[in-house]
Amino acid sequence: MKIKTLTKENLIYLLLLIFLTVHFKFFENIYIISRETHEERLIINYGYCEKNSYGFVKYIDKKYKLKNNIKVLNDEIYPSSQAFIYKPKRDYLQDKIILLNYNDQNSNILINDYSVIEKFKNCYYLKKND
Amino acid sequence: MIEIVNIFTYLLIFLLLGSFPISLCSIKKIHNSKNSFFDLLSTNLIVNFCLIFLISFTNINQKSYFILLIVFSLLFNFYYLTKNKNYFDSLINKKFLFFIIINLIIFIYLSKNPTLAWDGLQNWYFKAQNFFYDYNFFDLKNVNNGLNYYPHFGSFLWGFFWKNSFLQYEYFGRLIYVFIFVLSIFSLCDLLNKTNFIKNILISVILVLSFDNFLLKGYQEIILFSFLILISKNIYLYILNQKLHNLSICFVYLNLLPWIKNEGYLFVIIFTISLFIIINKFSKKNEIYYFIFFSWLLIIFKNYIFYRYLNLNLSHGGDLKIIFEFEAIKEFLLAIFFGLFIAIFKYKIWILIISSFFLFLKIKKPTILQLNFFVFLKINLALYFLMIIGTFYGVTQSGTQNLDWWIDNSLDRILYSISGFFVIQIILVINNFKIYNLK
Repeated sequence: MKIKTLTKENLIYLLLLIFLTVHFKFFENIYIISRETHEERLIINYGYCEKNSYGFVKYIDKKYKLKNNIKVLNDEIYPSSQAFIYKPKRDYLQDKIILLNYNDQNSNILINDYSVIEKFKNCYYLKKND
Repeated sequence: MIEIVNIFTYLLIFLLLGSFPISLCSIKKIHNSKNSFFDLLSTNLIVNFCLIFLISFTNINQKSYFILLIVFSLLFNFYYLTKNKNYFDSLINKKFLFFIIINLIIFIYLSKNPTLAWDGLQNWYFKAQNFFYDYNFFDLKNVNNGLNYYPHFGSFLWGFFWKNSFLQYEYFGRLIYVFIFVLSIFSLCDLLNKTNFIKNILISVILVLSFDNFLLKGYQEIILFSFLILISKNIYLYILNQKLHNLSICFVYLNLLPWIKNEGYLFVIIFTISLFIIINKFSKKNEIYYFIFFSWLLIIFKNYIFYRYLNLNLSHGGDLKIIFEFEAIKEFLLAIFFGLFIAIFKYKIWILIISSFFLFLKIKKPTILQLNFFVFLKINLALYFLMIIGTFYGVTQSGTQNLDWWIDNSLDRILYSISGFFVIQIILVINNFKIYNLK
């Protein structure tokens, strides 16, 4: 392919590419992708124990090797974090839940009914008391 | 770095799928044009999408099918390359490189923040995941999360390409949405009869104005938008040339819409009603009658499948009890028009579309066929706005959510999807401009 340098057409291609790379932050994005792993980027964007609390939910799933599904509740208004560890065609654990961004003033659950298995800041892995 | 290499590899795979099963030579003959690269990609992709769609109803292993598809595509291209060593020469040009680079720029943009937004995480993800785990359409009734009356084609594509990526990261499945989005804009801009200089600027303008990062986070509107662009292009070419292949491609794209989102029904209904209204303008009326008949038949068929196999009545959760009270209607109209006004400014492509509707007749007298298409677009536009007003009135009366909720969460996205159908009007207006040739 012969490319004649600096024809009007080439110049416009170049300008458009510069505009689009700047508009979509191409080089910054490349830098971030090469610096942070996929998992790290998800934690940065979903939060570890804030917003969707991706980090905490994944940590519990990995540490306790959950074979069944578990209910994930969030005291703040965010789409369900269930998706991060959902396993199709598996039952739900009846006695355990993950509670994210616990709000002691107005929570989805009565925390006294549960014992704490794991806690990080306001995120809990809980077992229902007998 | 591995991730970036994989992203690039996936782009090559999309291009490979777009080069099979119809060859470039056949496409050139069918479309009767020299520069058919984007027609090649869009035609082949829709053929492959239809096959992949059918697989979603079977137990065929997706991975095996994907590998088979790649092997056949490679052999197919290799065969044509050995037959004609210049086979790819017409593809390797600056516009093709521009297309590749734009795809990469947006792929990388998506990859940097691969999260899902509300509907993506709450509804669509579970459907995609169903297919990721090699389950099929009939297993969707076992998915207890998300809205089960949502159709599955978009999330099937997502799950299919997610599963078949090397790294199996979820967002790799969504790269196909970006590819279709960019492809549809490039394909549409092929209609422009101006220099590459103007074409490239217009591609960039449409791309920037219609790009919304939020909609790449698991929403399906971006596919509706892209498919509607390709539908408008093919129906325009059909009105101009009366060639059956344009109508057929249009038919396939249109009838996949209800399988992407339930709004797709309304798009099919409006499109077919508009065709029926202008039927006297077509010389081959039978083709249009068949088009309308089979489109409606496929809608009934889709409802039947959902009802029969997923036990779902697709009234979209609507329990319509429409009440006509003057005060309520007045209040509703004020709110909806304000919502529409805001949505138009959110998706700025609408500003260009509306301007182009006003400018079309003022610049240069169009041909009769162009005028027929313009009338067709105007009927569609009117019906779309009536549909929006009617549907929103209906759903707010049903009482599940109030009007503000519907306006905040849904109106802008519907308006975005619909805009795809009218972007062509911008091209047609520019075609009628006399522009100094900068070559």
